[in-house]
Amino acid sequence: MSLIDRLTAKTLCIGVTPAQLTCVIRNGHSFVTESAFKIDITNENNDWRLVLAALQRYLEQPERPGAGLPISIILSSQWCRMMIVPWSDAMLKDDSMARFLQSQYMALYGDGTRDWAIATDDAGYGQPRLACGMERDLLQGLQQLASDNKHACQSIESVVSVAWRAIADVSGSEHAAFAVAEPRWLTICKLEKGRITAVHSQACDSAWPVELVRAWQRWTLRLPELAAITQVALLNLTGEAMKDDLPAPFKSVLLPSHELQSAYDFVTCDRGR
Amino acid sequence: MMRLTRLNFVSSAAPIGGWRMGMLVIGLIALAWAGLRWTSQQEATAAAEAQLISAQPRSVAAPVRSAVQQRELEAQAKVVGDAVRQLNLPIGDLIKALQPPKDIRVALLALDVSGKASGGEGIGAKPDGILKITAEARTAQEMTTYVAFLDDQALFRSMYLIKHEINATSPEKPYRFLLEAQWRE
Repeated sequence: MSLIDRLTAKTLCIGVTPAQLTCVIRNGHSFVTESAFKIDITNENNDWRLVLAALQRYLEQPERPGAGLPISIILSSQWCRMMIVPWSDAMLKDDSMARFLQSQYMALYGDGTRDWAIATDDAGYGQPRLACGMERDLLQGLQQLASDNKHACQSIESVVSVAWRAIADVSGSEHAAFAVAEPRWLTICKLEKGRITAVHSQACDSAWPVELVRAWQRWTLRLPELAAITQVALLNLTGEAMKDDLPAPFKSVLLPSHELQSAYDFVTCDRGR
Repeated sequence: MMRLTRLNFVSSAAPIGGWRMGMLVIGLIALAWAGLRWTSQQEATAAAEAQLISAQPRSVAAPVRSAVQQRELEAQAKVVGDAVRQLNLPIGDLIKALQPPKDIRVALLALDVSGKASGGEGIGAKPDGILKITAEARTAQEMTTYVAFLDDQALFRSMYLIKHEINATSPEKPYRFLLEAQWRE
C-alpha cells in the first residue's frame, strides 16, 4: 500500500456480483467497523443491467454510508474474460495495443468481444501480459454511476487479481498457483514471481469442489508443467462452508474475518492494495 | 518486494510508494538544494555585478565652450606648439651639416629656420622643418657642388635649388642662390 493511500481518506469498496452488492468502507490498510453490508439482487440471468440498477438505487440514497468517498469496484469473474496475451511490439503504443488486444480476444472469444473494454497488467517489455476484458457498456455504466453520484472512481478490477492480493496479504506471495471459487464460477491461475502467467476460467453450475478438481486435472493435461505444482492456494468466495478439505494440491486459505461477515467482504475491502 | 498482478480498468498513475516515494523524496531534496544553490549564486552574481559597475571609470563630461573660446584655445595651443618646436630644433647639428668642406668655397649669407613641414606639430612630435639657405659661390660649379654636398647629408630629407642669380653689384660677380631643404632628426 502506498504512502498516499495511508495518508488519504477512506474508500468505498463495492463488490459487484450477479446476485449481490457488497459494500465495505476501507480506511487505509483497515476497514471501518460495521461498514460492511450487502444488497441481494434477484438476477437469474446474470444480467449486469439489473446489478447496475441496484447499484444506482443504492448510490442515490441521500444518507448512505460512504457518500462522496472515492470508490473501488470489484467485478465478478462472470462478467470478465481473462487471457494471457503474448508480447507484441504493438503494445508499445495505446492505439495499436487496443487493436492488438481486440484481435486476440476475437480470436479466442469470438466476434462478440469486438467492442469490449480490455485492460492489461503492467508486465515488463517482452513479457506476456494478463488481460481482462468486459463489455464496454458495463464499464461505462459503472463509471457513469460513480460520476453521477459524485464519487471519484479509483479502480474497477476483476475479483481474481484482487483475490490474489488478498491471498498474498494473508499467506505470502510465494505460491505457484491459486484458485478462486465464486458462486457459479471457478478460476485457476498459475503464478511466477507473484504475477499471473496462465489462467483458466470456467462456469460451474454443480458442486464446485468436485468441478474444481476436475478442472485442475484437465488444465494439467493441457499444461504438463502444472504437474510439478504441489500446492494451490484456494480462496472460497462462494459463501458456502466446505464440509471436507479438498484433495491435494488444493489448500484453503483462511482469511482473517475480523468483524467482516465473509471472505468476500475481506476481498472486497482489498486490504492488499 | 515483488509487485503483484493488478488489472485496473481505470487508468491511473502508479501509486507513490516504496522506491517511487524514495525517488520522490530524493528528487525533492535535490531540487531544494539546487534551489538554495541557485539563490545564493544569484545573490553572489548580483553583488559582483554591482561591484563591477562601481569599479568602472566614470566618463567626465567635456566642458562646454563657446566658438570664440575654442578658437582662442586652438591659437594658444598653436603658439605653444611652435615654441616647443623651436626649442627642440637641433640648431647645432644643422649648422654643422651646412658647413662646406674646404674645397667648396661657399659663403653662407642667411639661414631661415622658421619654416615647418606638415605633421611635425604638437608636443612630442619628431622635430622636422624646412630650412632656407641663402649662400654665394664664386662659380656655378661650386654652387652645384655645394647643393650636391648638402643633398648627401643624412640630416636633410630633400634639397632644392629654389633660385640663383649673379650678384652684379659685387665686383667678383658671384652666384647668389637660395636653397630649400627639408630636414629631419
